[in-house]
Amino acid sequence: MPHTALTPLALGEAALSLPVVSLLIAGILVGGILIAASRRREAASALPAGAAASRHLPELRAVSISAIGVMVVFVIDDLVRRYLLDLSDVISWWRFATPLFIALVGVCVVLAPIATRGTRRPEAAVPPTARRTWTSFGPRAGLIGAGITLVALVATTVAAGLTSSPDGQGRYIWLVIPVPNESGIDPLRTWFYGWAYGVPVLICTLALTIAGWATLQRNAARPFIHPDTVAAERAARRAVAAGVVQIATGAMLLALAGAWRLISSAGSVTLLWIDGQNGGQPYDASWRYGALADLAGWLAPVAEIVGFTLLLLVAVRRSRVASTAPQPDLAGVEALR
Amino acid sequence: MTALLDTAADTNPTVDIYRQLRGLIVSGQLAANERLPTVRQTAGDLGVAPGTVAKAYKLLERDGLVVTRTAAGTRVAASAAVLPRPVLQQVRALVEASAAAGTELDDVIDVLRAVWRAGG
Repeated sequence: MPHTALTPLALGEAALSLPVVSLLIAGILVGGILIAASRRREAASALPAGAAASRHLPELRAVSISAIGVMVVFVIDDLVRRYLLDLSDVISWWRFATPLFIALVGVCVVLAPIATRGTRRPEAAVPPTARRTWTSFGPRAGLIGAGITLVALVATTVAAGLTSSPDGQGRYIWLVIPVPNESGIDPLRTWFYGWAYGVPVLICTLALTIAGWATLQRNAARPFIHPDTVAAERAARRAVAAGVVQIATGAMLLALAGAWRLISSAGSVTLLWIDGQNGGQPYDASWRYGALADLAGWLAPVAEIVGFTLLLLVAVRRSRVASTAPQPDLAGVEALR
Repeated sequence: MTALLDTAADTNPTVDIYRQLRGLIVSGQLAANERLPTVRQTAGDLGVAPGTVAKAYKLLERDGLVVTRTAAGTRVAASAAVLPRPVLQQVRALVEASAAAGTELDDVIDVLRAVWRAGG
């Protein structure tokens, strides 16, 4: 079997196959974005104050912590599976669902203070001027991006699941590539993003979508505290909604990137060597969707970097809001209780 | 219209809500065919029982200010609205952008008038 030359391109490809490298690149991108934003003095535009702060700051902190949690757990899980545990014969079914599950937990952590502390009788009635729904405070572009990512993840998972084949134990983890015109030779079987991985992803994606929708809906529909705080509350609700959408989108992109990597590594196999057969030449056996697999391989690091960038932006921006916001107006808070 | 609005029932919260929403429609803050806030949302915002809000919505419907259809919710009647929905959406976006930019209302109105007269 020929050896692959260690070219700079091959090294780059290898580096981009590591989530830690994607996180590093995303960190550099976020640093640049923050520097550009600070020059435009946009950093502290959404600070709630007074009673609005006491209601919304816990939610903003929860958003920030959730985004950090998704990144930390995802990277630790990857490092542990890659370097600490020998899982070569184990189907790590949780592998692609992990970021989605952590994001689900994080979104529920954001929903909890909204459903408890964040939804109370107003101090003074604020007459409604329009119907508030789950899209009222959500970033329009962010919601569209989340929708596209959701469709891509579900479509990839279902298509890969339908393409996959079961192993001897009935677990759908194989991509079977027959060797053309050689019926006597067993087909190629490589590990693939089959139902064994895809079903947990679909379940977590569904739960994350429902939790995200519920959070956006509750965030929007609850009454305002006081006519004087409406502007600050609107800004805070926009920040919470944007954070939730970014966490969900970031987690889906991380899962999608992992899925695309596995599809790429499985679908790019094209040659089969059998000792003593075919005069020492390999058999050609390419997957009919091999070009798509190659494309997925190139898109995977892009998706992962964008996912980490979204999560880092949420973590950094919400942390800055939480740390630089004025102290709550305790008198006003007491009046609410 | 009804005796309810002309008598000592002026302090009735149902009438207050009716007047509030009628004011929004007549002043153009709710557009034609725009959905009214849900009964539950309005009740939560105002701190009243949902039944009180539902009664106010019935009064609006009786006045022809709103139309209630199954599955479509309660919407502002086209004949009662001042602006079509797309225009009001743009107005709201303009207000939001102006507020974010710290622009004075008078300046925005002056520019809007000038642009209007110039034909866009």
